[in-house]
Amino acid sequence: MKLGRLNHIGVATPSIADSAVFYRDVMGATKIHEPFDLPDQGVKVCFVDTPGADGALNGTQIELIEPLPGNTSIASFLEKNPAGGQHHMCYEVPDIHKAKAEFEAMGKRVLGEPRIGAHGTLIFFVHPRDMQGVLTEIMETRADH
Amino acid sequence: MKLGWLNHIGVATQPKPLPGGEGLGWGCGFGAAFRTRRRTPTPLRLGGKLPSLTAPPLKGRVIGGTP
Repeated sequence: MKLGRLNHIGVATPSIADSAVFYRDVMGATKIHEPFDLPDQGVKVCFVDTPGADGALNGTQIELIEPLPGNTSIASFLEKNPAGGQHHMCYEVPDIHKAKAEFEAMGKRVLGEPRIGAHGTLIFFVHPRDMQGVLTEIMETRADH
Repeated sequence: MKLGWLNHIGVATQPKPLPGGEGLGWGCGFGAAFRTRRRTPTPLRLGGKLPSLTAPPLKGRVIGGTP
């Protein structure tokens, strides 16, 4: 396993609309993408761009996550953290299946099979208890990146 | 205010020196990370007063692994 680019930080929120206003007006975000539903994962998501080291808007993104009706995992997170909060970190890898095999070989609990994530590439999550307390998402780098 | 570069994510860890015992221990990243000799770990008070956040950023420094 080789540490890849930190693609995004997942931030759970009870309201993407309110959080988008916060990132725009308080944090000065200049690029907030249109929210969209990921029904397979029971969430609505919205990406906020941040600058990279070169100043261009190519840095680690903030992924705002709001539960869709019936979602249990994000909803329970919000029950414990009503204002929302940091939920996961997502790293890129070049080959999702190879990464999954490597994590499993290290005894890490991979949560489910690779599936399409918010960026349209395959992703999986690794249990936070095996990842120093951090729910970790692994995503395959987009072909156009 | 304009959103800047996301410099780092703080991840709390247990108050235990890393294997090898040199340098990186509890409180690393808040001024203690780059010491090369062992010092008495200073507990980080997560529930109370936070340590100084004015320490220089970690950019460009190797703080773990094998250089």
